[in-house]
Amino acid sequence: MESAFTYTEYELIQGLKHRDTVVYAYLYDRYAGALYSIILDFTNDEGMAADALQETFIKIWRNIDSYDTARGRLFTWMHRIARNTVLDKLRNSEYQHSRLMKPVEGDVANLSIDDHSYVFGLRELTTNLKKEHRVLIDLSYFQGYTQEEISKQLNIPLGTVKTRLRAALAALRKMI
Amino acid sequence: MNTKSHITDGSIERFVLGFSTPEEEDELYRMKIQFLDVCTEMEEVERRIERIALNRAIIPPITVKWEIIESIRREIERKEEDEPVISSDWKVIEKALREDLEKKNELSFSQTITIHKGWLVFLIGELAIAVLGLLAMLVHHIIHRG
Repeated sequence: MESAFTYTEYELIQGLKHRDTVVYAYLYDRYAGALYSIILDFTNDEGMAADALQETFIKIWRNIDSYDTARGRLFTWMHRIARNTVLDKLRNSEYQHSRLMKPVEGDVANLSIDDHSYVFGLRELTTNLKKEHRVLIDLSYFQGYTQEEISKQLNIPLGTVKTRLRAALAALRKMI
Repeated sequence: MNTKSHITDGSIERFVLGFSTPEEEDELYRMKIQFLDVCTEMEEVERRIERIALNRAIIPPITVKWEIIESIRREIERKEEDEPVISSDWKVIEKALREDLEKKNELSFSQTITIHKGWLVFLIGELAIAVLGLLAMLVHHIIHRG
């Protein structure tokens, strides 16, 4: 089912909205690898990553009508679906449940993200950040905590979380 | 309006990475449609993130694609079963109309029977009164002759 055609973003969106299976197959061939690498940034469990990728593409098929081109690019929308899907899976897994329930101590050094076997994409980029910035990107992007939750978990003021996250994103921005 | 702060305060990155709040997203969207520099910067960050992901793409297991295709195929088939073609629709409508009509006929017949039964009771009653009247007249006549 490899597609011999290429599509512009507009053609791709129109084809998807018309439930064109050829366009959908093209979308998979073009973006499955990119979304899979994003998902593997969140989990080193290949089975879970494959399931999350499958669910992501089914959600794309089902929810394409809710995608608003004015808000952002198609990939941004798909990236969000992939992230939310894998975060849901991690939250539902027993391991992550116990991890989320366990309060994080004030010392940010306790948050180890170095044990991740897969180092791809943004995860790799964050390794170049200062530890206090890396922790904030990890908690907000990779673990899905809100800024209020991070403030409570790390026992630091919300204003400090916002300032540090802003600095972390500014540093990340320079890298991308 | 200071658009530079929106460009540099990380709100674009939070949106593109998918962890901004709905309120922040709405605010950013308003800025995007109002100010070209915000729109351009957003587009640029989105493209950069997409490029990184595409450059680091990892081929997923081949089974994933076939499982997705199978799921979609089943979903399309289910949808077709839920929304039958017009000819089948007409058969369903026709059957429903026929059943409805039969019900109405049955109702009409039973109503007719009920009305007839009423009339029958009335006529028997009337007949009984008439017979009793005749008998009374006959008894009266015999007594007076005697």
